[in-house]
Amino acid sequence: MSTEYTITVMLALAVLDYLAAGFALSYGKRVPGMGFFVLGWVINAILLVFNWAVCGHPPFGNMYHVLVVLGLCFLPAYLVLALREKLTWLAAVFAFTSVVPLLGLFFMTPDMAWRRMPALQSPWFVPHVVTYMIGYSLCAVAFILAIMGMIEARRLDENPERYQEAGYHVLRLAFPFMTFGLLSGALWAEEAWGTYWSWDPKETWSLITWLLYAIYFHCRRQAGLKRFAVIVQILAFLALLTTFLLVNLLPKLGSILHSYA
Amino acid sequence: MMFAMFILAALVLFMLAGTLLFAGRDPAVVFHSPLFIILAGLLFVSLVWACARRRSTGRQAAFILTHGAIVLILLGAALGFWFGEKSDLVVPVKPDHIIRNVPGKNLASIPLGFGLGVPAFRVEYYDKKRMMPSHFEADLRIEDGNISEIRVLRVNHPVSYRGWRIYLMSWENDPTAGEVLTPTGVVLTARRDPGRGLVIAGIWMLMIGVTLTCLWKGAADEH
Repeated sequence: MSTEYTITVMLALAVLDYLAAGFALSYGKRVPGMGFFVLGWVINAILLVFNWAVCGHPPFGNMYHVLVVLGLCFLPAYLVLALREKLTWLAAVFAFTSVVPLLGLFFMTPDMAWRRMPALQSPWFVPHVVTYMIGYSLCAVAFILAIMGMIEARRLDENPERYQEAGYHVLRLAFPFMTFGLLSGALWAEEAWGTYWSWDPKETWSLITWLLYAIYFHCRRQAGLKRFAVIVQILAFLALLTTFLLVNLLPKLGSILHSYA
Repeated sequence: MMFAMFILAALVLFMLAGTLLFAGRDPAVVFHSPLFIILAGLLFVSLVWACARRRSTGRQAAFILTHGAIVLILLGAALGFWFGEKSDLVVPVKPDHIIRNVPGKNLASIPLGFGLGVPAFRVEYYDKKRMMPSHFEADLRIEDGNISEIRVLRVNHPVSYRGWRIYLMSWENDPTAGEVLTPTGVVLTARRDPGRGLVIAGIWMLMIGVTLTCLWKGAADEH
């Protein structure tokens, strides 16, 4: 069985499990739903271990590897929110969102030849990427909740604000991880390149994203501006997508320093 | 808070303009411009004012830590910007070659205050044909009066000496050597940054402050 075939099978199983979890949880079938969620996560984790074994380094250095890591962030983040904020009703949202990064992998060729360049051989490498992925996964869930809240508000739902409140609690967990990701990158850049900040596109867009989420939190706390918070949050997520995807994919926005991210 | 949010929004718009309208150009054109520095200065003033207005209670500690951290970062960055030195240079890999000055801005020469040389360089490859290095390092000779020592310089592990930090960036091969890869020079960055300590302290304070503000329920200052 070829490596690519094995990866494709594992991906498909993980995606099917996450989808089954999402549907089961949506229909109130909590036990089977969480069972599928955990099973999908385990397969996703095996895929991470497989990538690690094949390339011989922590597999966080290219988009293919990073999407596998991103898929793993949702279940642990949900468990923290369920325990801490009692947001158990978000399970289906987290399960469905887990599918998104893995779907992208079906359209990518596994980069098994990836090797860790000397610049990436730093203790900051894994924490910088992992904390950003945790932050991004939570921001994605918060974005979906914002959209759901806007849809429910149009349908005159009894309590559309519960989505915005839940999104707020999700982002309160996301922001410290995003902050650590941003600032650990600066500390690492100083050790590697002699400067904390080069204003390259990746760095600038990540700072734009961080500032927009900071503005979101300030809107939430300012009387009269709270109603604009959800709009700021949506803009922040669009900036996040630009940081994570567009900067890598569009040549004009391209970053030389972050060319391996 | 409205003024602070106005400044944050202005900074975001400025950065958007900088990345979209000036893509491909030197970022310094935008982010070292007087207007951007003025915006950063206004942010500094706003943050100092916000921290000064707070009482020193436990609930406000996280706020002061978070916002005061950004003050420190801005202060350290300003010191580095106006009083720091940075130089990119190529040093030949030769046992007896010592430099005492590094190139600065506008062809100026910056004295190091000590001698610097690279007597040896080592590189290992994952794939030599595709020039994929797995590891490279240089021996850095430092001569300062009677002191002569060798330190190993690696990527992500700069060498610090008398206020200077030396970073290993890359190397150059002999272009006439054909397929035999023979390193002839190392590409270094030398930096002296009086604000470095403040920036690092501010970064760690900001990480802790944001974590406390967001995750410690007692620190939430809900209106």
